[in-house]
Amino acid sequence: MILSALAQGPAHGYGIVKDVELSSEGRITLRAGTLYGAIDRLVAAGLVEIDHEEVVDSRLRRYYRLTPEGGNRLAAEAHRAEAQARSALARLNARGWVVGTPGGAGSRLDGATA
Amino acid sequence: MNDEKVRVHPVLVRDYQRLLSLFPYSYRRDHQAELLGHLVEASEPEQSRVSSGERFDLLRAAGREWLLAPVGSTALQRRHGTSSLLIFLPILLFLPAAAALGSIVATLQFDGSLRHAVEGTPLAPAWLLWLVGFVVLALGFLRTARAFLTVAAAVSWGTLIVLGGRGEMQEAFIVAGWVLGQTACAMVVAERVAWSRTLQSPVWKRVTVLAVAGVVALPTAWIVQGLSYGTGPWGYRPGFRYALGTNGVLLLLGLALVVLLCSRRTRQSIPVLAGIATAVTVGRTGIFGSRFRPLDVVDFGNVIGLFAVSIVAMAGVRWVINRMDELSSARIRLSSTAAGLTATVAVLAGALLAPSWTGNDLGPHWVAGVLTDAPVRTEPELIAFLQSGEPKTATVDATTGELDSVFVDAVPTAKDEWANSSSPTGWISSTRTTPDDGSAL
Repeated sequence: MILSALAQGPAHGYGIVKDVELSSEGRITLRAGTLYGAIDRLVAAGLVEIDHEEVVDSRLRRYYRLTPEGGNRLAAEAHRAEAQARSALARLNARGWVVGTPGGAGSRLDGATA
Repeated sequence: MNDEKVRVHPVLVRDYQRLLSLFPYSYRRDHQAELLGHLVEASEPEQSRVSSGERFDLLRAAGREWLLAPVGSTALQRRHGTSSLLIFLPILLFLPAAAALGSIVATLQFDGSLRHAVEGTPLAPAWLLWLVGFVVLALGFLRTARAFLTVAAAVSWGTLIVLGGRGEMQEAFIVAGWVLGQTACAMVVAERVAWSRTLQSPVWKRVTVLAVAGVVALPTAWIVQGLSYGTGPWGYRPGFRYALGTNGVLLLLGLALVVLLCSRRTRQSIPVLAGIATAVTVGRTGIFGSRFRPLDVVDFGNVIGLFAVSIVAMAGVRWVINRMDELSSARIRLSSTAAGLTATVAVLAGALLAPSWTGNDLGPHWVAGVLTDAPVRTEPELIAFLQSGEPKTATVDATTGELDSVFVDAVPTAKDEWANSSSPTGWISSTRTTPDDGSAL
């Protein structure tokens, strides 16, 4: 989720939290203590690096960005997730399921609801 | 995200600062200002107190930082430290595990009473769980292994508390070192689970690492037990089971410390190993005893003291390792600066001394050294000549200005490599000479 948030450009910690919350439609909320532990690990693994720092309203903002390796990792993960999702949808379609929108109920072609 | 000025309640900021002060110094140095800015920015407009969720999250993060502090102050140190400990801790803990379970089997064979066996070896249930956890870990099931090892550590702490409650402080004093070892093991595997989401090291790699640890650990435990059984200054023991391998453990640790110090990666594991070694060692000496206070009347204070000494040892060794890492980093920065400076000077010197290298003509009055005659006039010719692999001499004919002498310490493969080389042996010594007519070059 953090790599995905940084895919659109450098972001600071709170920006990442807001992006993750938005993209998960409010299902995932990253807490500060958890977030910076994860960012530290990503930086140490060479997937993320510090872009720049700025002070806004006397508050330090440290911006992070993806490294090329981080971009590759994110792309690989995205492709893998996409392939899994396609496979799942294909299997559901093969069994006669009409796949609804996320959160909505699917239904069978024979009229039964899921 | 929101750049508008928002008035933040001073009590809220104070509470955040108090919570952040619970983190270790190194974490605060790196993240305090950033984290405070984040928390304040994320606060609600009228919020004056820290929410329970935030408080729990920060307290948990601070606790985690303190627990992992012996493994490393930074994430990179922890990555290296946990990788090394994943190999060295099982090797170390196999010794007491084998001894404890061996003692259980011996007692069962003697009188067949499981109760007597467990009473005689109080940590046996914890060791059994630990062994199962290790096997699961070796099979590559990291999360399941974490569960087993965490339960093993919890059981070992429970055993310690029960021993304390029953007044068996001597026993508690002796097993405390291994309780610390099991806790460290559970902590390391838990940290590796967190890293597994980031690193995604292949399962076969993890299995290989653990299999190597297991293969090394089993014969080591057997050999060391055989060598050290009941002898030496550490032979003091209330029951022989605890002496099995004790000399070997210390010998092994001493050797391991020397070897591990050599590498920046492996030395991150030393503080934890040193802490366990301290606890195990202190647990077998009368360090808290005296003429008036022999070891066999240890009380709860002795156990607390043992942990305190162990923590101090871990902190002290961590401090030394951190300074060593800083020195290594400074040395790397210095050599890279020196290399960069050398390359810059070399390029500048090359530009000043051989300006004609921008074109094909080497230009007049450019002298580079020794050996055999070489009819070269252009850069490609010179490189081909230098790469020919034979001793070379070239001199400049000061009258005609033609290059005919080259001094070569080592043959470069290309001009760029030559110009960027930081090694003196990779550089062609060059100088300019004053031609016979005395004109300045």
